[in-house]
Amino acid sequence: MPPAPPAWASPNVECILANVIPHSRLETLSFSVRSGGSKNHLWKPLPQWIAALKLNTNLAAIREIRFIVVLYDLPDSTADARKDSERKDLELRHTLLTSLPGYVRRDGFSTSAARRLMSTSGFTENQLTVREAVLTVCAQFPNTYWQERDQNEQDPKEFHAALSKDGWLGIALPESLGGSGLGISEATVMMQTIAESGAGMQGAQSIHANVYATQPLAKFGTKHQLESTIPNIISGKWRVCFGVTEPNAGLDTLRLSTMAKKLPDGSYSVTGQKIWITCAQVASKMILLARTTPLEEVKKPSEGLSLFCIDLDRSKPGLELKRIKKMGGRGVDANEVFFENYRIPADTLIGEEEKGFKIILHGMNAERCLLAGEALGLGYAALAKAAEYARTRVVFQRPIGMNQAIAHPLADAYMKLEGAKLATYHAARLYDDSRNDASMRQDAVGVAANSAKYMAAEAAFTACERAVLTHGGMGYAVEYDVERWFRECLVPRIAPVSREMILNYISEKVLELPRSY
Amino acid sequence: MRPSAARLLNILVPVKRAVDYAVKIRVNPQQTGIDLNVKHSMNPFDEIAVEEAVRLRERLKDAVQSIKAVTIGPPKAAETLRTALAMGADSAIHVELPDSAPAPEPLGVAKALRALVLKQSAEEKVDLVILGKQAIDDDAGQTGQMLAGLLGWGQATFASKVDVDPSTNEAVVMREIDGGSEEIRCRLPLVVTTDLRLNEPRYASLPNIMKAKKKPLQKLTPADLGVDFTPLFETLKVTEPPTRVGGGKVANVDELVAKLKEAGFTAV
Repeated sequence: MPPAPPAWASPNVECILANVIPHSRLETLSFSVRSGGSKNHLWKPLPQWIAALKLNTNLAAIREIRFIVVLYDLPDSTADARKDSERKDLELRHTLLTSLPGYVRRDGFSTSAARRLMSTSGFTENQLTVREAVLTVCAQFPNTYWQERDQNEQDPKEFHAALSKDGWLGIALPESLGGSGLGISEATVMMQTIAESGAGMQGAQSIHANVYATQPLAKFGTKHQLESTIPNIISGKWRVCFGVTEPNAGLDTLRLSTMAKKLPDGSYSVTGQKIWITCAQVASKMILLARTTPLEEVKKPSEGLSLFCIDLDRSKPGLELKRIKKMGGRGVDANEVFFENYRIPADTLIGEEEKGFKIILHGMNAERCLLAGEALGLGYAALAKAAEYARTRVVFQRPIGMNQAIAHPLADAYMKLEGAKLATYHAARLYDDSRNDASMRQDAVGVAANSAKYMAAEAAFTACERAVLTHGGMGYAVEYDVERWFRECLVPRIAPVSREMILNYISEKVLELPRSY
Repeated sequence: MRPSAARLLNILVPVKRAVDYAVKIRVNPQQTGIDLNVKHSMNPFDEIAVEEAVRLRERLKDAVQSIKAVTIGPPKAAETLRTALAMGADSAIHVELPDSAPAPEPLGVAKALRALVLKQSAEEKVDLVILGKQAIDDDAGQTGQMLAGLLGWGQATFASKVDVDPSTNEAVVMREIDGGSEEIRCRLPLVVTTDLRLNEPRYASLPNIMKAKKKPLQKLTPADLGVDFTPLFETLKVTEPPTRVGGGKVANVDELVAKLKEAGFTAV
């Protein structure tokens, strides 16, 4: 007589799920399962385990699950039972593979390369600390997470929550308000690291405005404004969007026509339209630039604009949001925002009335630096992936990276990125220095920041395009991520200012050539 | 009414800088050890120890007077101490060894920690030493036990739960043992070594990382502690395990069983 089948081992397995997995940063999980009697003993609890695995958000690191099955005293299967078990086998494997949040096929090279390409020599200790710590947070969000956000147009709110929980949104805000008082040099490292982790522009854009749009608020806001808003933004309770761009003004910001009309009681009534407002669907606050004096009535177009920090209260009349379908970064919403006699209280005004443009200029160079960092991150991520593929993909009996037609474009892309990196962190340092050094000309910061944004965006485009080409057909597949980054890398080329406008700016300010527009 | 806390606890947490858990280990070409030119981080079990000390403070509030992290290692080991400080330790001690020095062995480390505990106790008595049950680099798993022996203290190893009552000067510790858990009551002072399931270490938040840079970090030399780290062992050779030969894939359980039978395995 064979021994009686042992009591089913599922309590042990559940114990493993409850106790081991939340603590483990293992990439492979092996279960050894002994089962006697019918195979149903084994199959039955699997759906529950898988559900338990799915529930567990700490599973990001696990890329593979192995069940080592020891069956004994197997009763003879009838043909039907065998067919049934084969089907279940397939189902099981499929479910295991696809249902794990952190699962990516090992042979698919679809994780970001563990080796980072960028040289970090010359970075400050703070910058390196930021890079290291942000990478740890980002490691919880594998590429599959970002693929899903992109495909399903879902906001990466878990990512925003993870970063805000550990205080990252306050990186460049003053310590007195709960921030960490670091500069744009460190914030740029953070944005680059996020993009480079595989999160790309989606990850960066989900928090981007919280970092830079709050800069003018922190500098010019009243004590009451700061104390009532900044801590809530850092903690992640409120998200922020930045409302400047308008469909009928575009890059000609000074022609924006959204009006904030002052009412007798001191409050304002806003009417007009904004476009390309990132995260407006999920934001509670908007930093809004609007005219308080019509263009025709001011001496200079840069006058008559005012900056506000307003509630985006969708239940109030006069506010409408319309999501824009777009090419990349689809997890993060971009919107048209319509205001029609939308009422905002008097105390939403930031700084002096009519001086809004001067105030907002303060944040623009910072934004260019951050965008440059994000572009670099995309570029390095794509290049690392391409290099890994070129090393391991064998065609004609050799790795394709042995072909110089593959290798040289990647080597070229690397040097472009490294050059852009130096320009980017140079600009960020100038920006930070300029805050304490009144002798530094804002133009110098502007030239450096615009040049950095231009170079980083172009380098990222080169790297992303070549990464897709290196992958050949596979580069066109979502699973390999490079197509996602390629779609996203158009953003830093276009926004927040186009390549052409930067070329105009450099021609005029540095080369002293006559203005063409 | 709970009696008011009779005394204040001072906790010492020894931590080790080890090759990062995610790094693929490679033997160096001379076969004298492994390639150390890779990413290092705090030994994961020590991370659990730091976390537990911080959680004790969160539970016992002011009854925990100090949490001090200590490491013995090369200049770069200071990074590991900064991590401990960012997680919530108050201050740190770095017993600095030159880069060229061989890695200290468990007995040397235990002796150094003993000297440190005695030195510390001149100012404020150390009540609790919490450390990882082993380091993931050499997997020796000896330091905690040796330290308890050298100090003549009690030890609670492989802890999966730690409750400290400062008013009675006692701790109740759940230990992981073969076949289940064991709950023991211990008197302080005590050495606790941490097992995997004790807690899940936190990520250091940005404000805490910044604060950690300003926390005190004291540097000592082995001579300050009067200890000698000369190794007692000589590593003759380190080799990679033989490469595993890839197995075959089976389509289903029946085929697997057939293969097993073919290979001579029989049902029990």
